[in-house]
Amino acid sequence: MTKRPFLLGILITLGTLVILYCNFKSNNTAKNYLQAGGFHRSESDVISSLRDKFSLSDGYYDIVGIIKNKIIIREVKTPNIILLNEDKTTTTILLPENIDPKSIFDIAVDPLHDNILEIHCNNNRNVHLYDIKKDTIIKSFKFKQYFDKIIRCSQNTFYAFIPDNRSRNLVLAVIEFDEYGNDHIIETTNIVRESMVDDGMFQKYGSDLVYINYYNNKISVLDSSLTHEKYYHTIDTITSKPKTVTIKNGSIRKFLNAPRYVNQLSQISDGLLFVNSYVKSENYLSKDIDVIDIYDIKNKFSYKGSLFLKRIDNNRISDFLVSNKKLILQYPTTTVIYELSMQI
Amino acid sequence: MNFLCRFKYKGVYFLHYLVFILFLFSIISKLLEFDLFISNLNQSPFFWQDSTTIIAIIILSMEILTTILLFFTKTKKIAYIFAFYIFLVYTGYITMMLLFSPYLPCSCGGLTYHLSWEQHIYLNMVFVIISGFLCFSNYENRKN
Repeated sequence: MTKRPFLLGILITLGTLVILYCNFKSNNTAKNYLQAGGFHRSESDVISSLRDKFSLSDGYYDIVGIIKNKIIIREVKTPNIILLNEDKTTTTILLPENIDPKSIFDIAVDPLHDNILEIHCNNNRNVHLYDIKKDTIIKSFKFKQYFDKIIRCSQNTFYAFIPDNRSRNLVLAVIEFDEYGNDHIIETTNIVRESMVDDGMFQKYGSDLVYINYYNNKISVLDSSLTHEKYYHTIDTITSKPKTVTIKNGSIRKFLNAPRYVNQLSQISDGLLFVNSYVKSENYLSKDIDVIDIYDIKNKFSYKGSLFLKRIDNNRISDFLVSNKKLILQYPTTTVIYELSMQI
Repeated sequence: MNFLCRFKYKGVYFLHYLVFILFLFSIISKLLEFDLFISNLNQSPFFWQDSTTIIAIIILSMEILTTILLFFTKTKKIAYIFAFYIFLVYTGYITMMLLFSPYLPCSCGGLTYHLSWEQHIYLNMVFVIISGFLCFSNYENRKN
Protein backbone atom coordinates (compact mmCIF):
# COMPACT_ATOMS: atom_id res chain seq x y z
CA MET A 1 0.00 0.00 0.00
CA THR A 2 1.39 3.39 -0.91
CA LYS A 3 1.57 6.28 1.49
CA ARG A 4 -1.14 8.51 0.03
CA PRO A 5 -4.14 6.09 0.15
CA PHE A 6 -3.01 4.91 3.55
CA LEU A 7 -3.01 8.45 4.94
CA LEU A 8 -6.34 9.14 3.24
CA GLY A 9 -7.82 6.06 4.93
CA ILE A 10 -6.49 7.13 8.30
CA LEU A 11 -8.01 10.59 7.76
CA ILE A 12 -11.40 9.06 6.85
CA THR A 13 -11.24 6.81 9.95
CA LEU A 14 -10.37 9.70 12.24
CA GLY A 15 -13.03 11.84 10.55
CA THR A 16 -15.68 9.16 11.22
CA LEU A 17 -14.69 8.95 14.88
CA VAL A 18 -14.64 12.75 15.24
CA ILE A 19 -18.16 12.95 13.73
CA LEU A 20 -19.39 10.27 16.16
CA TYR A 21 -17.80 12.13 19.07
CA CYS A 22 -19.30 15.47 18.00
CA ASN A 23 -22.70 13.80 17.72
CA PHE A 24 -22.23 12.34 21.20
CA LYS A 25 -21.42 15.78 22.57
CA SER A 26 -24.32 17.48 20.83
CA ASN A 27 -27.09 14.89 21.20
CA ASN A 28 -28.87 14.38 24.45
CA THR A 29 -28.97 10.60 24.69
CA ALA A 30 -26.38 10.33 27.42
CA LYS A 31 -27.69 13.39 29.24
CA ASN A 32 -31.27 12.13 29.01
CA TYR A 33 -30.20 8.81 30.42
CA LEU A 34 -28.56 10.48 33.39
CA GLN A 35 -31.54 12.75 33.86
CA ALA A 36 -33.83 9.72 33.74
CA GLY A 37 -31.80 8.23 36.51
CA GLY A 38 -30.73 11.68 37.72
CA PHE A 39 -30.13 11.26 41.41
CA HIS A 40 -27.36 11.04 43.97
CA ARG A 41 -26.37 8.06 46.02
CA SER A 42 -24.85 8.11 49.46
CA GLU A 43 -22.50 5.42 50.67
CA SER A 44 -23.74 3.21 53.49
CA ASP A 45 -21.32 1.91 56.10
CA VAL A 46 -23.41 -1.18 56.69
CA ILE A 47 -20.57 -3.54 55.70
CA SER A 48 -18.31 -4.10 58.68
CA SER A 49 -15.89 -6.81 57.50
CA LEU A 50 -15.10 -9.47 54.96
CA ARG A 51 -15.87 -12.80 56.54
CA ASP A 52 -15.23 -15.56 54.00
CA LYS A 53 -14.45 -16.21 50.39
CA PHE A 54 -15.11 -19.47 48.54
CA SER A 55 -13.65 -20.33 45.14
CA LEU A 56 -15.77 -22.34 42.75
CA SER A 57 -15.28 -23.76 39.29
CA ASP A 58 -16.41 -21.45 36.49
CA GLY A 59 -20.17 -21.56 36.13
CA TYR A 60 -23.41 -19.74 36.74
CA TYR A 61 -24.57 -19.97 40.32
CA ASP A 62 -27.65 -18.86 42.22
CA ILE A 63 -27.80 -18.50 45.98
CA VAL A 64 -30.56 -20.71 47.39
CA GLY A 65 -30.40 -19.74 51.05
CA ILE A 66 -28.95 -20.65 54.40
CA ILE A 67 -29.73 -23.81 56.34
CA LYS A 68 -28.04 -24.24 59.73
CA ASN A 69 -25.14 -21.86 58.96
CA LYS A 70 -24.49 -23.60 55.65
CA ILE A 71 -24.83 -21.44 52.60
CA ILE A 72 -26.57 -23.31 49.82
CA ILE A 73 -25.95 -22.41 46.21
CA ARG A 74 -26.95 -24.15 43.03
CA GLU A 75 -25.17 -24.40 39.74
CA VAL A 76 -27.72 -23.36 37.13
CA LYS A 77 -28.71 -25.99 34.53
CA THR A 78 -26.85 -28.72 36.42
CA PRO A 79 -28.08 -31.01 39.21
CA ASN A 80 -25.38 -29.63 41.54
CA ILE A 81 -26.37 -28.18 44.90
CA ILE A 82 -23.30 -26.91 46.72
CA LEU A 83 -23.13 -26.44 50.47
CA LEU A 84 -20.55 -23.94 51.70
CA ASN A 85 -19.65 -25.12 55.18
CA GLU A 86 -18.44 -22.98 58.05
CA ASP A 87 -15.04 -24.70 58.03
CA LYS A 88 -14.55 -23.37 54.47
CA THR A 89 -15.09 -26.78 52.89
CA THR A 90 -17.73 -27.40 50.25
CA THR A 91 -20.10 -30.35 49.85
CA THR A 92 -21.83 -31.09 46.57
CA ILE A 93 -25.21 -32.80 46.51
CA LEU A 94 -26.81 -34.04 43.31
CA LEU A 95 -30.52 -33.49 42.83
CA PRO A 96 -32.59 -36.61 42.12
CA GLU A 97 -32.45 -37.79 38.51
CA ASN A 98 -36.19 -37.38 37.97
CA ILE A 99 -35.79 -33.60 38.20
CA ASP A 100 -34.54 -32.15 34.93
CA PRO A 101 -32.03 -29.44 35.98
CA LYS A 102 -32.84 -27.45 32.83
CA SER A 103 -36.48 -27.16 33.87
CA ILE A 104 -35.61 -25.62 37.25
CA PHE A 105 -36.58 -21.97 37.37
CA ASP A 106 -35.69 -21.30 40.97
CA ILE A 107 -34.81 -23.06 44.21
CA ALA A 108 -35.63 -21.58 47.60
CA VAL A 109 -35.39 -22.69 51.20
CA ASP A 110 -38.80 -23.80 52.46
CA PRO A 111 -39.96 -21.10 54.88
CA LEU A 112 -41.97 -23.66 56.82
CA HIS A 113 -39.39 -26.40 57.43
CA ASP A 114 -35.69 -26.76 58.01
CA ASN A 115 -33.69 -28.90 55.59
CA ILE A 116 -36.32 -28.62 52.88
CA LEU A 117 -35.75 -26.95 49.55
CA GLU A 118 -38.54 -25.80 47.25
CA ILE A 119 -37.68 -26.57 43.65
CA HIS A 120 -39.76 -24.55 41.20
CA CYS A 121 -40.01 -26.11 37.74
CA ASN A 122 -42.21 -23.50 36.05
CA ASN A 123 -42.21 -25.04 32.58
CA ASN A 124 -43.07 -28.51 33.92
CA ARG A 125 -45.67 -26.89 36.21
CA ASN A 126 -44.20 -28.59 39.26
CA VAL A 127 -43.00 -27.55 42.68
CA HIS A 128 -41.00 -30.24 44.46
CA LEU A 129 -40.13 -30.28 48.15
CA TYR A 130 -36.69 -31.81 48.49
CA ASP A 131 -35.28 -32.97 51.84
CA ILE A 132 -31.61 -32.10 51.65
CA LYS A 133 -30.72 -34.29 54.65
CA LYS A 134 -32.53 -37.43 53.49
CA ASP A 135 -31.71 -36.70 49.83
CA THR A 136 -35.25 -37.40 48.73
CA ILE A 137 -38.27 -35.61 47.29
CA ILE A 138 -40.87 -35.64 50.02
CA LYS A 139 -43.70 -34.01 48.10
CA SER A 140 -44.51 -32.73 44.62
CA PHE A 141 -47.17 -30.21 43.72
CA LYS A 142 -48.38 -30.59 40.14
CA PHE A 143 -50.16 -27.53 38.79
CA LYS A 144 -52.75 -27.64 36.02
CA GLN A 145 -51.71 -24.32 34.53
CA TYR A 146 -48.51 -22.39 33.97
CA PHE A 147 -47.46 -20.27 36.90
CA ASP A 148 -44.93 -17.52 37.41
CA LYS A 149 -43.34 -16.00 40.53
CA ILE A 150 -44.66 -18.53 42.97
CA ILE A 151 -44.57 -18.04 46.75
CA ARG A 152 -45.62 -20.71 49.23
CA CYS A 153 -47.88 -19.16 51.86
CA SER A 154 -48.89 -22.23 53.86
CA GLN A 155 -48.52 -26.01 53.87
CA ASN A 156 -50.60 -26.55 50.70
CA THR A 157 -51.26 -23.02 49.47
CA PHE A 158 -49.37 -20.82 47.03
CA TYR A 159 -49.50 -17.30 45.70
CA ALA A 160 -48.68 -17.28 42.01
CA PHE A 161 -49.20 -15.27 38.86
CA ILE A 162 -51.20 -17.32 36.36
CA PRO A 163 -52.13 -16.47 32.75
CA ASP A 164 -55.37 -14.59 32.30
CA ASN A 165 -56.97 -16.05 29.17
CA ARG A 166 -58.87 -12.90 28.24
CA SER A 167 -56.13 -10.32 28.45
CA ARG A 168 -53.09 -12.61 28.01
CA ASN A 169 -51.59 -10.92 31.06
CA LEU A 170 -50.65 -12.50 34.35
CA VAL A 171 -53.00 -12.28 37.28
CA LEU A 172 -52.24 -12.99 40.92
CA ALA A 173 -54.09 -16.00 42.30
CA VAL A 174 -54.18 -18.14 45.41
CA ILE A 175 -53.89 -21.82 44.60
CA GLU A 176 -54.58 -24.55 47.10
CA PHE A 177 -53.89 -28.28 46.87
CA ASP A 178 -56.41 -30.72 48.31
CA GLU A 179 -55.57 -33.99 50.06
CA TYR A 180 -55.59 -35.84 46.72
CA GLY A 181 -52.97 -33.55 45.26
CA ASN A 182 -55.32 -31.61 42.96
CA ASP A 183 -54.93 -27.86 42.72
CA HIS A 184 -57.80 -25.41 42.97
CA ILE A 185 -57.75 -21.68 42.38
CA ILE A 186 -59.42 -20.43 45.52
CA GLU A 187 -59.02 -16.74 44.76
CA THR A 188 -58.24 -14.69 41.68
CA THR A 189 -57.26 -11.14 42.52
CA ASN A 190 -57.42 -7.91 40.55
CA ILE A 191 -53.65 -7.67 40.63
CA VAL A 192 -52.57 -7.88 37.00
CA ARG A 193 -49.09 -7.74 35.55
CA GLU A 194 -48.65 -7.10 31.86
CA SER A 195 -46.57 -10.04 30.69
CA MET A 196 -42.93 -9.19 29.91
CA VAL A 197 -43.38 -5.44 30.42
CA ASP A 198 -44.18 -5.65 34.14
CA ASP A 199 -41.75 -8.47 34.85
CA GLY A 200 -40.13 -8.28 38.25
CA MET A 201 -39.27 -9.88 41.56
CA PHE A 202 -41.95 -11.13 43.93
CA GLN A 203 -41.22 -11.64 47.63
CA LYS A 204 -42.99 -12.12 50.92
CA TYR A 205 -42.43 -9.74 53.81
CA GLY A 206 -44.42 -10.69 56.91
CA SER A 207 -48.00 -10.89 55.69
CA ASP A 208 -47.32 -8.49 52.80
CA LEU A 209 -46.20 -9.27 49.28
CA VAL A 210 -43.61 -7.04 47.67
CA TYR A 211 -43.20 -6.74 43.89
CA ILE A 212 -40.18 -4.91 42.45
CA ASN A 213 -40.22 -4.18 38.72
CA TYR A 214 -37.22 -5.07 36.58
CA TYR A 215 -37.60 -2.29 34.02
CA ASN A 216 -38.67 0.74 36.03
CA ASN A 217 -38.53 2.08 39.57
CA LYS A 218 -41.92 0.81 40.72
CA ILE A 219 -42.33 -1.13 43.96
CA SER A 220 -45.79 -2.50 44.77
CA VAL A 221 -46.83 -3.77 48.16
CA LEU A 222 -49.91 -5.93 48.65
CA ASP A 223 -51.45 -6.64 52.02
CA SER A 224 -52.73 -10.09 53.03
CA SER A 225 -56.24 -9.32 51.80
CA LEU A 226 -54.73 -9.14 48.29
CA THR A 227 -56.93 -6.20 47.44
CA HIS A 228 -55.00 -3.09 48.47
CA GLU A 229 -51.87 -2.32 46.55
CA LYS A 230 -49.58 0.50 47.65
CA TYR A 231 -46.92 1.94 45.38
CA TYR A 232 -43.42 3.14 46.20
CA HIS A 233 -40.35 3.59 44.06
CA THR A 234 -36.63 2.99 44.00
CA ILE A 235 -34.22 5.94 44.11
CA ASP A 236 -33.84 6.38 40.32
CA THR A 237 -36.51 8.18 38.33
CA ILE A 238 -37.05 5.70 35.51
CA THR A 239 -40.81 5.21 35.15
CA SER A 240 -41.13 4.19 31.51
CA LYS A 241 -42.00 0.67 30.43
CA PRO A 242 -40.27 -1.23 27.65
CA LYS A 243 -42.18 -1.33 24.38
CA THR A 244 -43.33 -4.58 22.84
CA VAL A 245 -44.57 -5.68 19.43
CA THR A 246 -46.92 -8.50 18.60
CA ILE A 247 -46.09 -10.50 15.52
CA LYS A 248 -47.42 -13.54 13.65
CA ASN A 249 -51.14 -12.70 14.07
CA GLY A 250 -50.74 -11.90 17.73
CA SER A 251 -49.24 -15.26 18.60
CA ILE A 252 -45.77 -13.98 19.50
CA ARG A 253 -44.98 -10.95 21.59
CA LYS A 254 -41.45 -9.59 21.75
CA PHE A 255 -39.63 -6.53 22.98
CA LEU A 256 -39.22 -3.80 20.38
CA ASN A 257 -35.78 -3.00 21.80
CA ALA A 258 -33.69 -4.97 24.25
CA PRO A 259 -35.09 -3.70 27.57
CA ARG A 260 -32.69 -2.09 30.00
CA TYR A 261 -32.76 -3.43 33.53
CA VAL A 262 -33.31 -0.94 36.33
CA ASN A 263 -33.50 -3.38 39.22
CA GLN A 264 -31.92 -6.75 38.62
CA LEU A 265 -31.81 -8.52 42.00
CA SER A 266 -33.48 -7.88 45.34
CA GLN A 267 -33.64 -9.21 48.88
CA ILE A 268 -35.64 -8.44 52.01
CA SER A 269 -34.01 -8.82 55.40
CA ASP A 270 -34.50 -7.25 58.84
CA GLY A 271 -37.08 -4.78 57.57
CA LEU A 272 -34.76 -3.59 54.81
CA LEU A 273 -35.06 -4.00 51.08
CA PHE A 274 -31.77 -4.48 49.21
CA VAL A 275 -31.89 -3.83 45.47
CA ASN A 276 -29.09 -4.41 43.00
CA SER A 277 -29.65 -1.46 40.66
CA TYR A 278 -28.21 -1.17 37.15
CA VAL A 279 -28.81 2.59 36.99
CA LYS A 280 -25.77 4.72 37.60
CA SER A 281 -26.23 7.84 39.65
CA GLU A 282 -24.67 11.18 38.80
CA ASN A 283 -22.09 10.92 41.58
CA TYR A 284 -21.17 7.27 41.00
CA LEU A 285 -20.31 6.56 37.40
CA SER A 286 -17.62 3.96 37.95
CA LYS A 287 -18.01 1.01 35.64
CA ASP A 288 -16.33 -1.60 37.80
CA ILE A 289 -18.65 -1.51 40.81
CA ASP A 290 -21.99 -3.11 41.57
CA VAL A 291 -24.50 -1.08 43.51
CA ILE A 292 -26.95 -2.38 46.10
CA ASP A 293 -29.39 0.28 47.27
CA ILE A 294 -30.95 -0.09 50.72
CA TYR A 295 -34.52 0.93 51.57
CA ASP A 296 -36.30 0.97 54.89
CA ILE A 297 -39.55 -0.97 54.37
CA LYS A 298 -41.08 0.21 57.64
CA ASN A 299 -40.49 3.81 56.69
CA LYS A 300 -42.29 3.83 53.32
CA PHE A 301 -39.33 2.36 51.48
CA SER A 302 -37.21 5.43 52.20
CA TYR A 303 -33.70 5.32 50.75
CA LYS A 304 -31.04 4.58 53.38
CA GLY A 305 -27.84 4.46 51.38
CA SER A 306 -26.01 2.22 48.96
CA LEU A 307 -23.35 -0.44 49.03
CA PHE A 308 -20.63 -0.05 46.40
CA LEU A 309 -19.08 -3.40 45.68
CA LYS A 310 -15.95 -3.74 43.58
CA ARG A 311 -16.41 -6.33 40.88
CA ILE A 312 -14.28 -9.46 40.94
CA ASP A 313 -12.39 -10.02 37.66
CA ASN A 314 -14.74 -7.48 36.03
CA ASN A 315 -17.70 -9.78 36.70
CA ARG A 316 -21.00 -8.48 38.00
CA ILE A 317 -22.66 -10.16 40.95
CA SER A 318 -24.92 -12.88 39.59
CA ASP A 319 -26.91 -13.20 42.80
CA PHE A 320 -26.89 -12.01 46.39
CA LEU A 321 -28.51 -12.86 49.71
CA VAL A 322 -28.88 -10.95 52.94
CA SER A 323 -29.56 -13.13 55.94
CA ASN A 324 -28.56 -13.26 59.62
CA LYS A 325 -26.57 -10.02 59.22
CA LYS A 326 -24.50 -11.52 56.43
CA LEU A 327 -24.28 -10.29 52.88
CA ILE A 328 -23.48 -13.13 50.50
CA LEU A 329 -22.41 -12.17 47.00
CA GLN A 330 -22.21 -14.65 44.16
CA TYR A 331 -19.79 -14.18 41.26
CA PRO A 332 -19.07 -16.64 38.41
CA THR A 333 -16.23 -18.33 40.29
CA THR A 334 -16.40 -16.89 43.79
CA THR A 335 -18.79 -16.56 46.71
CA VAL A 336 -17.97 -13.68 49.03
CA ILE A 337 -19.46 -13.24 52.50
CA TYR A 338 -19.49 -9.92 54.37
CA GLU A 339 -20.63 -9.19 57.90
CA LEU A 340 -23.25 -6.45 58.09
CA SER A 341 -23.63 -4.06 60.99
CA MET A 342 -27.24 -3.23 60.05
CA GLN A 343 -27.12 0.00 62.02
CA ILE A 344 -28.53 2.20 59.36
CA MET B 1 15.02 -20.39 3.20
CA ASN B 2 12.45 -22.23 1.13
CA PHE B 3 10.93 -23.61 4.31
CA LEU B 4 10.77 -20.13 5.83
CA CYS B 5 9.01 -18.73 2.76
CA ARG B 6 6.51 -21.57 2.78
CA PHE B 7 5.90 -21.06 6.50
CA LYS B 8 5.33 -17.35 5.98
CA TYR B 9 3.02 -18.01 3.05
CA LYS B 10 0.93 -20.44 5.12
CA GLY B 11 0.85 -17.95 7.98
CA VAL B 12 -0.52 -15.22 5.72
CA TYR B 13 -2.99 -17.73 4.28
CA PHE B 14 -4.15 -18.58 7.81
CA LEU B 15 -4.54 -14.90 8.76
CA HIS B 16 -6.50 -14.26 5.56
CA TYR B 17 -9.02 -16.94 6.48
CA LEU B 18 -9.16 -15.76 10.08
CA VAL B 19 -10.27 -12.29 8.90
CA PHE B 20 -12.64 -13.87 6.36
CA ILE B 21 -14.30 -16.12 8.98
CA LEU B 22 -14.65 -13.26 11.47
CA PHE B 23 -16.38 -11.07 8.89
CA LEU B 24 -18.63 -13.94 7.80
CA PHE B 25 -19.56 -14.70 11.38
CA SER B 26 -20.22 -11.05 12.12
CA ILE B 27 -22.47 -10.68 9.06
CA ILE B 28 -24.47 -13.83 9.81
CA SER B 29 -25.01 -12.94 13.47
CA LYS B 30 -26.05 -9.38 12.57
CA LEU B 31 -28.44 -10.61 9.89
CA LEU B 32 -29.97 -13.26 12.13
CA GLU B 33 -30.60 -10.73 14.89
CA PHE B 34 -30.97 -7.58 12.85
CA ASP B 35 -33.62 -6.12 15.21
CA LEU B 36 -31.33 -6.63 18.19
CA PHE B 37 -28.40 -5.09 16.27
CA ILE B 38 -30.47 -1.97 15.53
CA SER B 39 -31.75 -1.78 19.08
CA ASN B 40 -28.18 -1.95 20.41
CA LEU B 41 -27.17 0.86 18.05
CA ASN B 42 -30.22 2.76 19.27
CA GLN B 43 -28.91 2.58 22.79
CA SER B 44 -25.52 3.96 21.83
CA PRO B 45 -25.08 7.65 22.67
CA PHE B 46 -22.79 8.12 19.64
CA PHE B 47 -25.37 7.54 16.91
CA TRP B 48 -28.26 9.57 15.64
CA GLN B 49 -31.35 7.95 17.14
CA ASP B 50 -33.49 8.42 14.03
CA SER B 51 -30.98 6.99 11.60
CA THR B 52 -29.70 3.84 13.28
CA THR B 53 -31.36 1.63 10.64
CA ILE B 54 -29.39 3.40 7.91
CA ILE B 55 -26.19 3.15 9.97
CA ALA B 56 -26.86 -0.56 10.54
CA ILE B 57 -27.33 -1.09 6.80
CA ILE B 58 -24.11 0.85 6.02
CA ILE B 59 -22.12 -1.20 8.55
CA LEU B 60 -23.55 -4.46 7.23
CA SER B 61 -22.95 -3.44 3.60
CA MET B 62 -19.33 -2.56 4.37
CA GLU B 63 -18.82 -5.92 6.02
CA ILE B 64 -20.51 -7.81 3.16
CA LEU B 65 -18.47 -5.89 0.55
CA THR B 66 -15.22 -6.63 2.40
CA THR B 67 -16.11 -10.33 2.67
CA ILE B 68 -16.86 -10.52 -1.06
CA LEU B 69 -13.60 -8.73 -1.88
CA LEU B 70 -11.72 -11.12 0.42
CA PHE B 71 -13.07 -14.01 -1.61
CA PHE B 72 -11.29 -13.08 -4.84
CA THR B 73 -7.51 -13.08 -5.29
CA LYS B 74 -7.52 -9.91 -7.40
CA THR B 75 -9.46 -7.88 -4.85
CA LYS B 76 -7.85 -9.30 -1.71
CA LYS B 77 -5.57 -6.32 -1.23
CA ILE B 78 -8.46 -3.82 -1.30
CA ALA B 79 -10.36 -6.08 1.12
CA TYR B 80 -7.44 -6.00 3.58
CA ILE B 81 -7.38 -2.21 3.42
CA PHE B 82 -11.15 -2.08 4.01
CA ALA B 83 -10.86 -4.57 6.89
CA PHE B 84 -8.02 -2.55 8.44
CA TYR B 85 -10.04 0.66 8.47
CA ILE B 86 -13.24 -1.10 9.63
CA PHE B 87 -11.40 -2.64 12.59
CA LEU B 88 -9.76 0.71 13.29
CA VAL B 89 -13.14 2.49 13.40
CA TYR B 90 -14.60 -0.28 15.60
CA THR B 91 -11.64 -0.04 18.00
CA GLY B 92 -11.96 3.75 18.14
CA TYR B 93 -15.72 3.49 18.72
CA ILE B 94 -15.33 0.97 21.58
CA THR B 95 -12.57 3.09 23.15
CA MET B 96 -14.85 6.15 23.03
CA MET B 97 -17.72 4.12 24.53
CA LEU B 98 -15.51 3.05 27.42
CA LEU B 99 -14.08 6.52 27.94
CA PHE B 100 -17.10 8.77 27.51
CA SER B 101 -20.38 6.85 27.63
CA PRO B 102 -22.20 6.97 30.99
CA TYR B 103 -23.57 3.47 30.36
CA LEU B 104 -22.65 0.49 28.20
CA PRO B 105 -25.38 -1.23 26.21
CA CYS B 106 -25.03 -4.84 25.05
CA SER B 107 -22.12 -4.95 22.62
CA CYS B 108 -23.27 -7.26 19.85
CA GLY B 109 -24.22 -10.84 19.15
CA GLY B 110 -22.35 -13.82 17.78
CA LEU B 111 -18.79 -14.60 18.73
CA THR B 112 -18.29 -11.47 20.81
CA TYR B 113 -21.52 -11.93 22.82
CA HIS B 114 -19.60 -13.40 25.74
CA LEU B 115 -16.84 -10.77 25.67
CA SER B 116 -16.81 -7.69 27.84
CA TRP B 117 -16.21 -4.30 26.20
CA GLU B 118 -12.58 -4.37 27.35
CA GLN B 119 -12.01 -7.84 25.89
CA HIS B 120 -13.70 -6.64 22.72
CA ILE B 121 -11.09 -3.89 22.39
CA TYR B 122 -8.25 -6.41 22.66
CA LEU B 123 -9.85 -8.64 20.03
CA ASN B 124 -10.30 -5.68 17.68
CA MET B 125 -6.73 -4.50 18.24
CA VAL B 126 -5.47 -7.96 17.31
CA PHE B 127 -7.47 -7.77 14.09
CA VAL B 128 -6.25 -4.23 13.36
CA ILE B 129 -2.70 -5.62 13.56
CA ILE B 130 -3.57 -8.70 11.48
CA SER B 131 -5.34 -6.73 8.75
CA GLY B 132 -2.58 -4.07 8.83
CA PHE B 133 0.01 -6.80 8.42
CA LEU B 134 -1.97 -8.30 5.52
CA CYS B 135 -2.16 -4.84 3.85
CA PHE B 136 1.59 -4.47 3.85
CA SER B 137 2.52 -8.12 3.28
CA ASN B 138 3.49 -8.94 -0.25
CA TYR B 139 3.48 -12.68 -0.09
CA GLU B 140 2.34 -13.32 -3.63
CA ASN B 141 5.42 -11.56 -5.06
CA ARG B 142 7.66 -13.49 -2.68
CA LYS B 143 6.00 -16.68 -3.77
CA ASN B 144 6.87 -15.87 -7.36
